[in-house]
Amino acid sequence: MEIGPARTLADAIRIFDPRRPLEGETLRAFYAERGGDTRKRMRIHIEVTSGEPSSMLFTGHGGSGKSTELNKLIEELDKEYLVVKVRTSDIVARADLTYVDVILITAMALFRAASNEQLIQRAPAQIAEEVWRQVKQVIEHVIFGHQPTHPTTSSEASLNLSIPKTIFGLTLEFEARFKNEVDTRAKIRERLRDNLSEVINKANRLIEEIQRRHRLPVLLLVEDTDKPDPGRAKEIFFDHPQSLTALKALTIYTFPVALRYNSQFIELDRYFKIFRMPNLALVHKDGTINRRSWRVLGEVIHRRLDPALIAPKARQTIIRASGGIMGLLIALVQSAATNAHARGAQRIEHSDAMAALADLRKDFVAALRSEDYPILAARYKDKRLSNDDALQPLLQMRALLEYENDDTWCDVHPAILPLLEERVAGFKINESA
Amino acid sequence: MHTLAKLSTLLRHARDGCFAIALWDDAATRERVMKTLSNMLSPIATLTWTCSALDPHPIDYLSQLSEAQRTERAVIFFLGLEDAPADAFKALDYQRELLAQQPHGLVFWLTPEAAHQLARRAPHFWSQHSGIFDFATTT
Repeated sequence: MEIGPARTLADAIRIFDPRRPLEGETLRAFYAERGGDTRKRMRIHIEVTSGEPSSMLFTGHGGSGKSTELNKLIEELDKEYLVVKVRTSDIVARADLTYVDVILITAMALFRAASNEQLIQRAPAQIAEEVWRQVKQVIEHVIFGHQPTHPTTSSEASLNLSIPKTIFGLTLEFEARFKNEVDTRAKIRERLRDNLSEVINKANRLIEEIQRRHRLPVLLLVEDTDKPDPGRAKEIFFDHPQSLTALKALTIYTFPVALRYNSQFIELDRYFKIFRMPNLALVHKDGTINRRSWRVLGEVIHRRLDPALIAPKARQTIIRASGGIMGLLIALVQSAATNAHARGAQRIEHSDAMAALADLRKDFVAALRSEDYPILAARYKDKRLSNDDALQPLLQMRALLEYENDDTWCDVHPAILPLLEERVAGFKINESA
Repeated sequence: MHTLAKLSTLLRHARDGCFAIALWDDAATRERVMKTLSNMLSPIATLTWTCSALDPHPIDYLSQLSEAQRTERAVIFFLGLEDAPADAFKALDYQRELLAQQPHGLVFWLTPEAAHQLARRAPHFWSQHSGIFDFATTT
């Protein structure tokens, strides 16, 4: 099926999916340049390292479009690097991720990618057999804890070509068992507590071989390391940065934005190059319109939706209601399209957009506590961010939005302003906003 | 009725794994709404799962669906999350991508208080719903 802008409201409901980042065909069909320079700076950093190891942290608020930007970066680098994409939540299904898990899952993903038959077939030269043997041994003996088998006989030696295939199978077995078998996971974690360096060493040998034989630097993209709760994320990043940076490849970890405000964050500078993807600001701090952001969000809608399906005033309402948050923009269009389609209309009218905004407001009513409203009112007035604990949940639920145009400042989500007028004595919306 | 029509439209047309929050505060009303919604969605099948102390994680239920249940488009109602242990909400937060990969539309039935807890304990998950549909009988 050809990917293109929605031609019907039913298509729009399907295409405007707030959960899915763009990738592959949807990335090529719908991606709109944000105009910011985060991805460009990451690319420049990767290029100037010339394949030398470097670890990066990539962070940004929920719904800002981080995963899509990473997918765009990977698409740009795919021909020049062996990109190994790892999603920790695919393997560790519970929120008890440890730093050992992160390194182990990344190493196993590397082993799997390197042993992929298609990569091997098109490689200009093959990885040394001894390296494959060492990788197989560390998986079988260190990770799975199997006892060593009898020495290879001459007839078995002739099966050496199947070692990569065996490794590929072992990585699949690891993923299934580590994810689903509680006992297996516990035992592997226990074994690796004292043996993680062996896994890292073998992974590094393989990385060197890939660079030498395949002439491809390795880029490891580790996602979902921004998802664990703050306590667990602190243990992963603040307590074990040396281990996370021990793999001799370009490595990008996603980093929880809430920990940016932690006093230990600045110490990570020694280990990681840090990249932040800011939200798009629809206004400047002084309240004047930021036309560039409006154009970007308009383009995002335009690429996915036939202009005939949305009234211009509805589009403006939706962009304003998004607060510059990409994920919210997508969700609002889906909601407005659902409203229009449910009443039998052929296009999204202003009333549908206003109904979507009203639903978004209900979303915030469901999440906010009574003590949150005065805090939001105060931040609306002074636009000042700090590392106060009270602000973190508000930033996470996007009731408070952080921007980095001009300087670093914050604002209340526009959908909440009428709620502040109702609930905070003396609060007035600034009419120029 | 309008809220039902919107939810039915969303579940019929949105991509696999889209999920919605349905607020309830009266069990009889919830049952009536679920029954009416099932009729409106027909021939799309509806399945129901109820959280329990022994089985508190929606993702476990989804991973145990038979091949036939996974292949044929359906909508799944998740009930009883008000009584789920604290880590069940956190697990939803961490597993949001796994949920997005599911082939079915998902409706999480929550009391307003449980919705409040979910929004704060699982903000990543919460941020990706495709709508809150209010069937609570009192404001």
